[in-house]
Amino acid sequence: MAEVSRDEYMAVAASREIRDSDTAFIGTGLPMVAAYLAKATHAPRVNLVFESGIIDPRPVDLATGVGDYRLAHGSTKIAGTFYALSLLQQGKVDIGFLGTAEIDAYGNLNSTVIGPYHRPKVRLPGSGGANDIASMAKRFVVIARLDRKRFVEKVQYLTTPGFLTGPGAREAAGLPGAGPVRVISDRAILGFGPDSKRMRIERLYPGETLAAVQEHCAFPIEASPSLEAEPEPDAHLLRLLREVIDPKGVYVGRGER
Amino acid sequence: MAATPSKLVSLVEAAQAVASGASLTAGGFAHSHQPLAFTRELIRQGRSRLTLMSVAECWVAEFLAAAGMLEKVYFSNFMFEGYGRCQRFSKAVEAGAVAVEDHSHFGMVSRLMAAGLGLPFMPMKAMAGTDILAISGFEPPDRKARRMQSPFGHEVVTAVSPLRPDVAVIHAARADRLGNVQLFGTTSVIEEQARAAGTVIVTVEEIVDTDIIRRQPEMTLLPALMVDMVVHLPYGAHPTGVYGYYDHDSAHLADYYAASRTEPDTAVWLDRWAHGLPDHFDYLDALGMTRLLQLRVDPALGYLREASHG
Amino acid sequence: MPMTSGSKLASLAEAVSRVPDGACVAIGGHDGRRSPMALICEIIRQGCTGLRLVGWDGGFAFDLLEAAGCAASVETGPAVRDRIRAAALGWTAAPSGAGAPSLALRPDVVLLHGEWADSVGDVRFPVETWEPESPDLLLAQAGASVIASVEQIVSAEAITRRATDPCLPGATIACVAEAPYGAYPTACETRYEVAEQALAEAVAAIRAPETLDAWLDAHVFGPADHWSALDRIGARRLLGVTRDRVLRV
Repeated sequence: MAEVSRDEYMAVAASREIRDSDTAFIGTGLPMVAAYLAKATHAPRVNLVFESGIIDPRPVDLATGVGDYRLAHGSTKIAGTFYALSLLQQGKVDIGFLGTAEIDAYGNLNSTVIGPYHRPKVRLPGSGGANDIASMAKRFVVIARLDRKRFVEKVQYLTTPGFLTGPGAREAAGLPGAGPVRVISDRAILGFGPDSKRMRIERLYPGETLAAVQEHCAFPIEASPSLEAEPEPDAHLLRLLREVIDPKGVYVGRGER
Repeated sequence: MAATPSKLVSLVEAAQAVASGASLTAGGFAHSHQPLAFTRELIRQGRSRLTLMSVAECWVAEFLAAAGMLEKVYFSNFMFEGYGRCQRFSKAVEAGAVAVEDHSHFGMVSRLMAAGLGLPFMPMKAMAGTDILAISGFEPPDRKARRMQSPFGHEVVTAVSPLRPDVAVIHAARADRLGNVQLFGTTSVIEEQARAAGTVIVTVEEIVDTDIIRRQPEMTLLPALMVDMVVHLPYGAHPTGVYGYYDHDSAHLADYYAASRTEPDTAVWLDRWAHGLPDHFDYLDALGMTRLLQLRVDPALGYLREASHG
Repeated sequence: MPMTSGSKLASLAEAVSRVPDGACVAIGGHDGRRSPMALICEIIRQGCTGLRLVGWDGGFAFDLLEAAGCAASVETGPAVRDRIRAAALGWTAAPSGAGAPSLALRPDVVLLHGEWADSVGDVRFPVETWEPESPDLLLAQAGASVIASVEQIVSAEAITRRATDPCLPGATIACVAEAPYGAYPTACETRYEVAEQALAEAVAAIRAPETLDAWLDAHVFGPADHWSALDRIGARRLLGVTRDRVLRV
């Protein structure tokens, strides 16, 4: 069997965040793969919601995005964007997954601009549902590759709230969700200190060191007291990823053979 | 019973309802049911200083930006699934040619909802504590949103102001001549947009008898009372798709995406596919019936099955 | 029902290559509806000759094959219908009133145009528009080899979800080719109406040798295949006759 790729570690780690019977708000890419993996294994009763308005689908082909008709197949409801997002405000959504261009130590995200807002160096796509998910889902998970341009001391524009300025800030802003619980990167799995609300290193993928992870992060980041090694994924999970869920490797890159 | 007048109009006539300087909102999500034949007609006719009030109609925004017709955009996210960011739109923002006002999706929908329900504001919970509210685009911050305490307790919410587009343009599956509109797949933000807008224009794949609508009233998205004009435009969402009819044309989308990397290539592309073709049927013939028919979706799956064409 | 696993998909050209010169060919469709025109144009393109044509009633499909020089004979009407019915029922002869019984007629090849088929060749005709007098299933039963064109090749799910449609099981057909607007300019009930103007032009054109050649060049020999022919006919004409593009299953 091929070597386990970083994408595969990320997909497996993300899937583990989903609990059985969760209502999960899912975006395009790795979150979609992680959700299908969770559903096929430990969380068969997970209820998947997509911002295009698709509820609990049974797709037979992998969708290229949340607006793709491949995703609508076998769903229990096809609605609109308002319907899907309103489930967040109602408090129905347990978990959401987000990607980002920048993330700071408190898990705040930027997907709006690089450079000044009015004359940006790079105009990014904008919040979309990300701010809604981070504000209102009971918890959320960030999936992001670790590098110093992404893991920054201060985001250039705060699109999506993590813990904002630190302990108590979400509550003061009136945000109903509890905030980020995990950041799944391509080198390590990160979490947040229960009191400090700062990001810390929880699990290292095989071959990774604390120093290498710290090196790829532009803000100071410490290890969790319970730091451990992420084990190699179970062969059963790898087979599901490679043969059933994403056989063409659209979202999950393969390791070297 | 007195006969109800038909709302069927030509594409040219419908597009004339959008004046230069008008505000516009459009249906669609990702590569699905965006009113792009209408957008191409607007580009042919030429407009300037348009304002978009948008949630996810990325292709409408991109083409209007590419044609230099946009001035201001209230929006939440423009992104081409599977391709990347909307290049002409993004470049226009970076150049300062288009001013933007950012929101979350739910923030935009809530503002349209406030207008649609005839309310002075809509309370909501997202966006608080972020730069979406802290940094003003072109709108004075206190005109966009304010923090307020619930009149019924201590809960603090964000009140957002209404957005009332002059015109909503929607592409749907089918309608009758009276303007009863049905759409089978995801419905993006169409209901909220149609309620909020001053004038509602619907372009459709098929015109059917009212009897067909009445047989499946549960599929009706907009009843006739919500609709001002209906245009019969088969393949009117191309190169995006319409659920139950045709899938998005990924080759055509990729072709545009490649062209949109530079301004000159984009101009050539627009000349070829908008300015250079007198009307929608010339556009369809330029694509060819073969290509259009090979986009047809499978009736059970709702999307195009690969490799079914001999 | 016997299950076939192999694909029955073919291009129109491959399908028509199974029609030998001189064969007895039954043409499906009835009363200006669902004539297998895409298959017929391909027969002309491939230059088949000496075909002995049979069918329920005459019409443009037969006239065109005759005018193009592909047909040796044409037989339609009540007598030949009885002989085909007899073959379909497995009889050797058709009962008749006073005279001698006529022999059952088993066509070598049957050409049909249906609505949908899956890759194993299960062909369906929508029950919503099916007329009991439609001869297609009977012809298929009578013939030695069935070649079908359909508006659309669809998934097996789409076929199985419509269990009450009149159908031809894949095991009973030789091959199926996708040909949208494959009955044009005749009608295909759920999808499009008769293209009155195009049909009238064609009927007039094939009457005289001088206009026949021009018509054949424009509609048959000019385009490389059916798909190119559709590109030439164009969106205005095709979408002009199109009705319900979605029959929800």
